[in-house]
Amino acid sequence: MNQIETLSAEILPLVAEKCEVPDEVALDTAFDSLDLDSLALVELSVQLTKKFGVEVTDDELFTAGSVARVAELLATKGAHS
Amino acid sequence: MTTSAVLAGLGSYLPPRRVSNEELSERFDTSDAWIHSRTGIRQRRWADVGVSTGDLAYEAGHRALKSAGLGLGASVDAVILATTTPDHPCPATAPDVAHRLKLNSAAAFDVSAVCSGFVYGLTIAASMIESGHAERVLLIGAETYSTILNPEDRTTSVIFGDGSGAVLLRSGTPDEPGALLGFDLGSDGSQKELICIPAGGSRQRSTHLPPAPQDTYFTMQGKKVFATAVRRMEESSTALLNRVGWSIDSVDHLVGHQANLRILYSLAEQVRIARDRVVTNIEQVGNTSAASIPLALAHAAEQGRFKVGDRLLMTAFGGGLTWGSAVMTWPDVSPS
Repeated sequence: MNQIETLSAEILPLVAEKCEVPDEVALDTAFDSLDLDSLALVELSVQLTKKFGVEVTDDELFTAGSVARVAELLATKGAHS
Repeated sequence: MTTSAVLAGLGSYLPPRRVSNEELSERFDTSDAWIHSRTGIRQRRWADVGVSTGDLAYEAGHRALKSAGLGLGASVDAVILATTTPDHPCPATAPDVAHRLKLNSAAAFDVSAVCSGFVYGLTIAASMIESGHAERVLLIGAETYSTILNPEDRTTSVIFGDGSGAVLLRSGTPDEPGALLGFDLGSDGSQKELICIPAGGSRQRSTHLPPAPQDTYFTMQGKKVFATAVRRMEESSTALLNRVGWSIDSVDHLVGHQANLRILYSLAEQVRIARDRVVTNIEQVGNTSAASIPLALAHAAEQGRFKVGDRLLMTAFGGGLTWGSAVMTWPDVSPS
């Protein structure tokens, strides 16, 4: 696995646990299509900032829009899995 | 032997008027399900017309005195009131509360640290006792947020409630159950706008123009506050636990500021403490700002949740920005 794939594998369950139907979340599933409420991405930003040691905001997660894109974002910020 | 502040009395008071999510759903485009899923709140109390923070502070203060086996006119060296909603911009509310409690010679002053006010007050009260400047201090957290909420702002109106809680601290030793054993405080004024009442102070009054009506109300940027609150409370808690040599596994109860149930659970996840050790009463009282920690302590104690000697970690975050944490062991005390 390359770094993006490894990061994605760690991010995916964090997103899935916030969804009504966790199994429906894939790496490229748009956050828009998930039934996430307004605080879910804030909670995810807290988790990712702590887990990977790089600051990421809910606005950045919203813009990224999917697990795979968030993994790319974190990689550009210097996150290591 | 080293002197420590020891919790000797605990009191709380809620105004009688319950405001349910259903009632707020008639005023705003919201629902019980929406409010509860995002905040954990089912209802809050709002004070009746004409009831002020000082009135609620008196009630909790009186009850804390009774809980400590004392009464009106007891020998108390200082009365500290933590509040965001004083009775007047000037003077402070604490002297009036002290007067009504017949603690007439006590030093009395307010602490303004918004939702962190109780933890700031604990630190000040304990420092007064540890330094020998006071034998007994009455610390009250009291709020009437219903007086500063913008009636057109759904996001804040569903969160905040009114109430008061108080502790009577006495001089003792660190090995006694009830001893306050450590503190951590911090602030970041660069983000003062996240939680703010824009008008009413000298910044706005210096214009000598009347304030815009909406500027007289409490404002909060909720999402930014959420992430920052979790981070700061986690950092403060961890720093304090390291300083006093407690592992998180040795903490029996996390008593966090009751800002939002999801903030409390995010905090629990970050500090790695099980949810069943997180004390919550937000479902029934909402966010009562400086009153939230003593109210949570009183309600949990009433339910028999604490055993003598249990280790408690208290942590709070509020406007300023401010944050703080304190650790204590639980005493043999019955709340009033």
